[in-house]
Order: sequence, then C-alpha cells, then structure tokens
Amino acid sequence: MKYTSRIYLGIVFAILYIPILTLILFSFNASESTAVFTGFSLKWYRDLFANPDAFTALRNTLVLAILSALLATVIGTLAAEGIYKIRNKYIKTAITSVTNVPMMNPDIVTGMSMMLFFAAVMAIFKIADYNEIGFAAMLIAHTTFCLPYVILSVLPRINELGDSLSEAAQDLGCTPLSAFLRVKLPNILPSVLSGAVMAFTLSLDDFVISYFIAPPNFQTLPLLIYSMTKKKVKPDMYALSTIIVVTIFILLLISNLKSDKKDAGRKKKRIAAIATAAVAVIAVVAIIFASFAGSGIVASNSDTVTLNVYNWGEYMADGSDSEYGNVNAMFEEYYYEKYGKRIVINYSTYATNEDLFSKLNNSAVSYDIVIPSDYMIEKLIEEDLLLSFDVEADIPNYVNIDDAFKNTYYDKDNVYSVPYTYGMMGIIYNKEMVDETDLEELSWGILWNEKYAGKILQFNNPRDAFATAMYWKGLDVNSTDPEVWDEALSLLVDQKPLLQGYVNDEIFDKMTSGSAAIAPYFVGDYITMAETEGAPDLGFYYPKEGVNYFIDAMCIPKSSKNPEAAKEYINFMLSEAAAVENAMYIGYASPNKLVSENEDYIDYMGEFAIDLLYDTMPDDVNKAYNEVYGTTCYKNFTPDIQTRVNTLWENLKITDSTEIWIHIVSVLIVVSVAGLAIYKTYIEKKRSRDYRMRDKEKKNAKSTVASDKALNNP
Amino acid sequence: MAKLIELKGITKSYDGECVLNSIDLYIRDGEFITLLGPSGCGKTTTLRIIGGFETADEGQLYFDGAEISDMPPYKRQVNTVFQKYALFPHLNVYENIAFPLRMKKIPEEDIKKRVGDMLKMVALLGFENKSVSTLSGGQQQRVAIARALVSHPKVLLLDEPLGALDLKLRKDMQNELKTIQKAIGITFVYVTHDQEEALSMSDTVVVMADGEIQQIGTPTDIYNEPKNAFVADFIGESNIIDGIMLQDKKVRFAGHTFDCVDGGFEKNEAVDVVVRPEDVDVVDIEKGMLTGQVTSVTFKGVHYEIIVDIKGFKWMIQSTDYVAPDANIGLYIEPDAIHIMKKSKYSGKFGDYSSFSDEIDLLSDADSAEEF
Amino acid sequence: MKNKKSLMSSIMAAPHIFWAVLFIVLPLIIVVFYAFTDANGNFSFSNIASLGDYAPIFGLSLELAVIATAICLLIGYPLAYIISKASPKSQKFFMMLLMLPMWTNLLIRTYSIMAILDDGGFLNSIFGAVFNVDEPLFHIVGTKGAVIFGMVYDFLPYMVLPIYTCISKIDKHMWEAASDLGCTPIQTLIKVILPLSMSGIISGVTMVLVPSISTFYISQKLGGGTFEVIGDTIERQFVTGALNVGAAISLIMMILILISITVMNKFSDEDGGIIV
Repeated sequence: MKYTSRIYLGIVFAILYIPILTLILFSFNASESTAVFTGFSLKWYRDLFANPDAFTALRNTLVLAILSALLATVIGTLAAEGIYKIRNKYIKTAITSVTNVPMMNPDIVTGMSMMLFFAAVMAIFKIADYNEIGFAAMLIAHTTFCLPYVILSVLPRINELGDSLSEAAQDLGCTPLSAFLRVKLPNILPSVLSGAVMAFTLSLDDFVISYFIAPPNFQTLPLLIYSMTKKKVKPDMYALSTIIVVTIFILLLISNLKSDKKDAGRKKKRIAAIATAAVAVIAVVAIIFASFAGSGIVASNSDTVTLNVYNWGEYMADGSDSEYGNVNAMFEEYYYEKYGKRIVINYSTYATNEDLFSKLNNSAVSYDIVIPSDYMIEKLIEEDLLLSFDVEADIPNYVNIDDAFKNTYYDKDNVYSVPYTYGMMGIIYNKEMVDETDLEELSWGILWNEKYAGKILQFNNPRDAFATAMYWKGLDVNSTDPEVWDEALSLLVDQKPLLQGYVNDEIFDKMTSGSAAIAPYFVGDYITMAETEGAPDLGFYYPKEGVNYFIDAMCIPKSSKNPEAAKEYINFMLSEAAAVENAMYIGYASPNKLVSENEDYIDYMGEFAIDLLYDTMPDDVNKAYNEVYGTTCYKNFTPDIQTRVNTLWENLKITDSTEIWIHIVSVLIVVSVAGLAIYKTYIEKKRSRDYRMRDKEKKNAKSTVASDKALNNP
Repeated sequence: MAKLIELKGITKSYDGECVLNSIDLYIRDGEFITLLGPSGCGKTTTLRIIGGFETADEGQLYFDGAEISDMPPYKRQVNTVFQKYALFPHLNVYENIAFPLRMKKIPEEDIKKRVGDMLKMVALLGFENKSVSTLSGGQQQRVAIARALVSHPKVLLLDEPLGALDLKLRKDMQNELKTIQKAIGITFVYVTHDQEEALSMSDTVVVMADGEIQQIGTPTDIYNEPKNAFVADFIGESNIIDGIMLQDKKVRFAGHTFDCVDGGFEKNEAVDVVVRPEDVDVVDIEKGMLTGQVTSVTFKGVHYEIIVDIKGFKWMIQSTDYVAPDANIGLYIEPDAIHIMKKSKYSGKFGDYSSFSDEIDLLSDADSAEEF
Repeated sequence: MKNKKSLMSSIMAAPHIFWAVLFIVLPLIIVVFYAFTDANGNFSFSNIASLGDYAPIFGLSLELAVIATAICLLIGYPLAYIISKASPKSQKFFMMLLMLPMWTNLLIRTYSIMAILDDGGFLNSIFGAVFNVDEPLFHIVGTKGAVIFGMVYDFLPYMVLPIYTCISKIDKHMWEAASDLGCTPIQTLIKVILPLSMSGIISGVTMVLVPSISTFYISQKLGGGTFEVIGDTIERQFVTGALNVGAAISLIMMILILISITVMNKFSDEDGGIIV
C-alpha cells in the first residue's frame, strides 16, 4: 500500500511539475524557442529587468493586491463580527448568501457585471475618461471578490470564540468597541491574517475580472502576460515566473524549516519567523521602490502628461525585446528635453481591427493614439470617432512619407491619418512539411488541401478568414450581396475539419515551433517568423488569385485628452531613428522614405525581405487595385453586411462536431453520480422505514419494554 | 478459567522513549480486568496493542493460544469502546450498531434482530433513527457499547469509557457495565485512572506505572497487600513510613517497636511500613504507642481527617471523634493494621502528608488534561 | 442593552452591507437589465430568445467541465487521502508542493502546457528525436482532450485542498473504530472516510466545476480556437461589444451554476456547505 501510494504521489506530482520545470528550463534558453533547448543563457533575465512594462505591471499588481487585501480584511473582519451578532436568522442568511455570490459566481460573470456597473457609473457621473476611475474600479472589484474569503476565514473563529470573552472584557470595564479591539481581535488575529493572505493571493493571481475592467493606464501582471501569450510568449515571461516560483518556494521552505525546528528552542523559531517576514517585506518594498525609481516618475506628479497608445500586438519596438530599442522610451526622453515635462506612454494592444472599434465605440477609455487599418479608418471616420487635423502642417515629418501613401481612398484629404506601415497578406508555409508540387499553383486553395489536415491554420477574425475563401473563389471581399457571404461561409465550414485552429498572433508560435504547416498571414510577420532563431525553414508567397493589401495608419481618436502630445508622438515616429527601429522590429514595409533608403535597414532586412516587402508592392496605392497580383483593399461594410458577417462567423464558431466520446463519457458520469445518489437515498429511506415499523411493533408489545427496564435497572 | 489473551515481554517506545517495558500479562476468559495507573503509565498503549491499533516493538501477543501480534484490528475477535466513543456521525444510531454486522455481510433479517437485541440491552429502543450527534453523552456511550458488542466479540476493550461523563452518570454506567459483562459473560479489559472505579468493578486489577506492571491481584489484595509504596499510595490513602524489621512479626518505626503479622524478612532489614489512616485509633496521650500534635482537622462527613505530626512525619488519621487542632494525642495501631513492604524505587516518594494535598486528584487531573 | 448590542452589530456590518449592495447586488441587477434590453436600451427579449443558438456551446462547456471535474475527483481524492495519511512533516511538504504551482500564473501554466504538448512542442520533439521520426507523434493541442487536460491540470489543487482539509479533520479514532469493527483499510475508506469527507468532495467539485465551465483562456490556448466554450463566447461578445447578448449568457450561466450549487449542497449533509 505504502509503495503504491508513493508511486502514485510521484506520478501526480511529476505531471504537475513537468510544465513548471520546463518553464524554468526554457527561461535559460539561449534562443527564443520554447520547444528546443539550444543553450544556456541569462538573456531573458536581462531582458526582463530591462523591460519597463514588466516592472510597472509588477508594481501595479503588488500595490493592488496589498490595498485590496487590506480593505477586504478590514471590512470583512468587521462584517464577520457584525454578522455573528445579528440574531435574526433570515437577515443573517440573506447577508451571507449575498456575500458568497462573488465566490460562487464564475469570474467571467463577476467581471462582466463589474464592467457594466462601472460603465453605468461613468454615464451617471458624466466621467469622460475611464482612466480616471480605472484604479478605483480595479480596487473595488478586487476587494469585492476577496471579501467572501476573508469573512469565510474569520466568521468560524468568531463563532467558536463565542460571547464570553467580550462579555468578560465589558464586565471589567471595556466599552463594546474596546472589548472588540483589545480582547476579541487579538484572539481572532490568526484567522484574520490567513484571510488577508488569501485575499492577497487571489488578487495577485486574478486575470479574468481584471481583464474585463482594467483601464489602459493600470495593467497588472496577469494582463501583461495575457497580452504577451496572445502572440508568442518570450522566455522573459518564463524568467519572471521562474523568479516568482523560486521566491515563493524559498519562503515556504524557510517557514517549513522554522516549524521543523520547533524543539530547537522558541527563540530560534521567533528569529526565523521574524527573518522570514522581514525578507518578504523588504523584497516587496524594494520591488515597489525600484520600479518607482526605474520608471523615473512619481504617479502623483501633476506635471506629468500621460499618452495612451493603443496598437496591434508586437507592432512597435516597445523595449520588450532587448535586441531592439524602445521607441516609447526614446519619445519620453525627447519630449522631456523639448518641453521640460515628463510624459508617460501607456502602451496597450489589441488583436483585430474590430476589437479596436468596439473598444473605441463602447468603452469610455480615452486613447491618444490608435493604429487601425485602412477600412477601419474609413469606418471610424464615418462614426465620427477620429480627430481631424491638418496633417501636413501639424506633423512636420509628414514630408518623409512617400507620396504614394498620401490622399488614400479612406483619407482623401489627409486630415485623419498618418501611414505607419503597409503590406500584404499571403501564405506562409513550412518548407519541410509542404510538398513543392502543392506550391506550384500559388493558390489560396492550399488552405483547403486535405493532405495537410490538422496542420492548417486560419485567421481568428471574420474579415480576414472570409477573405481567404473569397479571394480563392474570386468573390468580392467588399461584396454587399449576402449570398456571396453565405457562399464564403460554406467554404469555411468545409475547411473547419482540416484546421488545427483559428489563430491570431498565436500563429508566430505555431509556425516557428513547426506545429503547423500552412497559414495565411501578413508578409511582415512572415519576415519576423523566418528570422526567429530555431524556427524551421519557412516560405511565403502571394497567392495568384489576389491578396489583401493594407495600410495601417496612426490616428488620434476624438476622445484624446492630449491631441498636441499625440501629434508630437506621431511626428516623432516619423523621424528616421524611430521609424527605422520600428521597421526593423515589425518587419513590415514602411511608407517612410527615410526608412526604405536607410542603409542599415536594407542591410539588416536582407535582399529577399526587401524584395518581398517593396519590389513586389504597387507604386501607387490608389491605382494599385488589381494591378500586381490583383490586390484589393478592404472597404468598410454597410451595417447590414457587418451584422450578416458577424452572424455567419458566430455560426461558424458554434457549429461543432463534438466527438461522440465526450457525450458518452459525460452522460456516463452524470448518470452514475445521479444513480448513486438515488440508490443511497433509496436505501436510507427503506431502512428508516423498517425501523419505524419496529417502533410500532415495540409499542404494541408493552411487556417487552417492562422487561427492558428490569434488565437496565437491576 | 483459561487464558484467553497473553502478553509476553511486550515492549514499546515512541521516539526513543520507552512507554512499555517488557510487559507480561495474561487475561482469563470471562473476567473483568482493569488496567489502572496514572497518566503515561502505559495502560492505554497496552490496550491499543491488544486492540491491534499499535504493534509492539518486541514481545508477542497470543489470543486463544495463537499468536496475533501482527494481525490487523479488523481480523481480531476483539472490539473496542473508545474514549470519545468514535461513533460515525454520518450514520444514525441503528446504522452505527449495524455497521460491524454489515461488514460481515450478515443477512438483513439477522442484523435487524441483533441490533434490536443490543438496543434493548442498552435501553435505547426507539432511538434507531436518531442522529448520533443529537444524543447525550450517556446515550452515545451506550451506542458505542452496543456497537462494540453486536458482533459478539470474545473480548471488549474499554478505554476510559466513562471519562467524559459526570459523576452521577458515571456511577450508573459503572453498574450497568458490570451488569452487561455478567449477562453476556465475555472478557472486559477496562482502562482507567480512577482507583475507586477499578476497585468496585473489576475481578482483577493490574496496577501500572512507568511502563511496568506494579501489581496484579483482586481488588482486596491490591488494597490490603500493596506490593510497594507506589501501589499503596495510588490505591487509597496510606501513611508510608521507613521502618526496620527487627525480626519476624517485630517492626520498629517512628521510634517505637510494634508487633505485626508479617514475616520473612532478614534481620534488621529496612522496609516500608504502610498504615491505612482508618486503622489508626486516637487514644489518650498516655495510652498511645505514639504521640503527636494535631496540625489540622477537616470534617469529611463520615469522619474527620486529622493530620498529626509525629517526630516531623505527618500522619493522616481518619477518626469519627473530633480532636482539637494543636492538641497532643496518642495513637494506637493493631498489629494486623501494619503492612510491611520491601523497599522499592518508589520508597520515600509517597505517604507523607506534610504538604497536604491529594496526589490522586492531581494525577487524575493531569491524566484528563493529557487525554483531551 | 439589547438595543445597544444590535446597534453595535449593525454599525460593524454596515460597511460590508453597503459594499455588498453597491458592488455585488447592483452590478448583477445591471446584468439583468442588459440581458433584457437591446443595444439602444429598449426592453427586448431578443437576447434571451437568441440563447437557443448557444445551446450546443452550453452543452459542450458543461460536458467538458463535468469530465474535467470527474477526473479531478478521481485523481484528487486518492491524492488527498494519501497525503492526509502521511506524517505531519510530509503532509506539510506535499501540500506546499501542491500549492506552489498556483503561484505561477494560470496563463503561464496553461501556455507552458501548450508549449509542451503542441505538435512541434517539447514532447513531440523529444519523442521525435528518440524514435527518429519527423511527424509529430501526438496530436494533442486543438483537441477537446487537451482542454480537459488543461482544466484538470490547472484546477486539481482546488479539488485536493478541501478534501484534504476535510479528511485530516476526521477524528483518528474513526479509522480505528472502523478497523476495530471489521473494516479492511479499503472498506474503511469506502464506508467511513468517504461519507465523512462528503462535504470536502462537494466543495472541491464546486471549486473545479465553476471555473471549468466558465474558462476561456484554457480553451483558447489548448483548444486551438476550432471550437468554443461558453467562456469564449462571452469573451468574444465582450471584445466585439455585443454586451447585451453577453449579459444574457452570463445571466443564464449564473442561474444554472447557483442552482447546481444549491442542489449539490442539498446532497451533502446539513454540515456540508462550502469549505474553502
């Protein structure tokens, strides 16, 4: 028995720890890969410490966790005492059930309800910018979901303690309040502390609720991780996790050792406990202060200007990769030198144009810079969400932009947007996994090739996913005919069983690790992937049936608080230094003449990439449609078509051929649990009925009772 | 009566601390045997070894002639009534009692009958459907006894079963247990630290201390003929005085030579002399074999408890006559009231009432403090 | 005196009651409001009516969550049992080992499972090297099995913790009594320990089932996006701004979960409840 137990424990813990150990292992990997270990390196730790975002997020997370744990502990402890004192049973039940709601409710529902609540608050109090109440919202939400855990930890102890202590204290001259503070509180302190620790932990680890309500200027670590894991997790996140796990492990080990040596004397124990606490506190304080110092600002400084930049993931050299510079930091420095004022960039990311639209349209968050694509700019202008300004006059560096990218179809008068990058969509394939004969056609059809079933990826957004099917079959990607869209849907439905998955930025990981063979994506991203260390040999082509051609441009939303600083930012991004840095990092073609003529850049990208990016591209954007590869731009949908496409996309996602075993197993589980419960209830009922019959028999036979008595009282 | 259980050289230690030191003991079929001793004397460990919850480090345990040292509890024909009853809270009274029968896959009809018989025996008919947590301490106790007896074990082990009950209930349950034992005629092995309980219920008392058996005997033997100072002190009240055996039936202590009934010692051997307080008569000072000054008098209802200082040694005397404190009195002791014991490691530790307090009460307090 | 006492108590509980009404009850009322209005704020049943379309997703989420919970229970119960029988020192150590992964963010853990199990991941590259094959041997990520594995992996400690707490609270005499009354160790487990730890099982099941039903990260990463669970649907509606339908789905999910928790608590005895 003991032996099998040990083996069992071993297996479970091994499975539990393999992912964590791999994570630790790959945090020391020399390359970016999370699948192949290429050599030992501390690169990712250096990257981590150089990444200001990670530190800000860590500081935010700790500050939030400490404050919400404190608040929840104070309110919760008072509440526990109050609930204990309430005599009315119904009121008591009502309060405790309401309290437990955030604990029972799925996080996603709590998050949703909180988000809607704060939206209502903003509407009622006419608060224009969510950033203003964002931190308070986070604090309230975290405190709310921590509260039930504190109460649950404290209430049983208060019940156990009863009234006698505080009564004794009052007898000896305490007021009820001082009786609580001086007598009761010290006695319930351990459970108060464990409630506080629990609250701290929960807040620290929360992702779902924060995901729904976090403002752009207050990102926590889990949110940062989420936005990073959307694309490819760089091992610097592994490094961070390794540091956290190892720290916790050491702290736990110390506290364990401490209690093991109980016999070695109380003094030693106390010293160890104090030392542990001190180390923990110092570590926390040091991290907070270091990060304050690191970011070079104090949050309350009123002279500080904040600029909220909302961009695609991995679409700006933001310092997350030590190989490239940090253009945001460069801008912060430049701005300080020029105006003598500090500016802080809040950088956050989105995955699709539609996500950006809903964020700008629905949420009250104010952004200063967004970088949507052409058709989305058209839509945003239509919805009156963009600020109009004299681009040529306000942005001196606008002269650096190639004329081909001016007066575009979506912004004919150059009053809303400044081109940032441009590019085309195409097919990325793994040269080792795909047969050359299948490539000869240069067609979108390869995405429907059954030979590669389970190795094909598709876009996880309706616009691009539908486009792949429509280009393939020569349909108009801007069609206003619903039937055209139905036809495209049927193609996607056919394709679904062949897919490994619908992905957005996850494609980086899937292609560079060799998990998938074929994927439609953008040329710039292909270049990034092909350059990734340890990646398999990847190829790319523009399908001959036509591809999407896009321009992403910097715009200022109407809700911007700092349009002047935003213009300064746009202007800075067009300067040679920043633009080159960005172009190298992103890998997309740049409309900036200073970039395409920059020698370093040309060297860095290499002939193949330059050729792919620039030479196969049309010279004149507005005349370009259908000239080279028959490229077409997306155009804004009519509302009807937009609704139609969304519905069709949803249908595509919902249709699912669930494997039959899922049904069988789950039904089996439910049936057997229900069966067991019913059987048990039945047996119990039957048996208790039997005794009751015995009772009656017994009552009839009084003589037996008399003899019982004789036996029991001799 | 035949030997049913036999312990041979049972030794047990925890973390290097010896709690049982080579215990030899046999238990006869059908007897009510009590393991008596202060907390930490090893009585509960002995019981747990018989029950199978602990295994001895050394030594053998025999049941009906067969060795069962390593047999798990569920295979032994021995059942236990636990100190805090250990009733199963998820089962009602009926199901608790029926539990061992269900384990043996006894037909439902027989179970019904046997559980009914047991309920009748412990006077709990009508309680079948009650949850055990709603029962009083005494009722829980009865359920525990019924549950332990329902599968007809050959031996019932009881680990301080009355410890949690109040005094009145305790007396009732003592009688009841004894009645049950007589009625079903199986062996009861009873563990207690209460000497009165042990003396009133048992056929045989085993006095234990420091992991060793001090004395085995009938209650009267144990009381009248304690083997050493520990037993003399633990069972009832005793004045234990250093004495010298001058010759057979002549002993000298407290500065006086007494006639006694014991013999078989060497000439001038140092011995412990036990005189029970109720065996000392208060007489006029000039008639007394010993004289001393009364230091305190306490009224105890039936008698007065008088502490007398005789040459620096405080004696306890129980007398129905009142004596004034500070009075000088004479004491008279009959020869058969003097019990002579050989010196042991316990000599000199007990039997002086100079710091007048009830050691037994102290011990029992310590005992219960440890157990809970 | 009596008045004073109740005054004191209401003052102490007041901040919490205020908080709970404002930040728990009110947001839920707003969810209900959203669920019954259209995008323009007019009263409408269309969101509720459209829920029928999501029935397959509800079904799938429930099925995956039920299977994951059952596996968690099957793995977690013996684990809790074995740990609770170990020496106090080892108990502490094992519980520490069990809780430690919880300190790694769930997202990172899930991601690292994906990195291991992916077709081009660690597992396949190791086995590929050992058996010298180029094709991935195991296709795991993108299947429902992978999602179930992710749920089990991420939520197993939630199952073990309450069961362990419950078992270790059982009086040691219960084990001895059962053995004394004729139970083999296995019978002791089934007849005595299992029923006595029922409240732990119920709270463990709740603590695994609820996050499993509503997760969206695990299914996104390990499911490959080819199928949706209800959490994905809500998240997608949140991102695309279809808040009214999202609120309706949330409302239904909340009601279903609260009902099932109530039913489960009925089955655990009166002393059951939720133990965390």
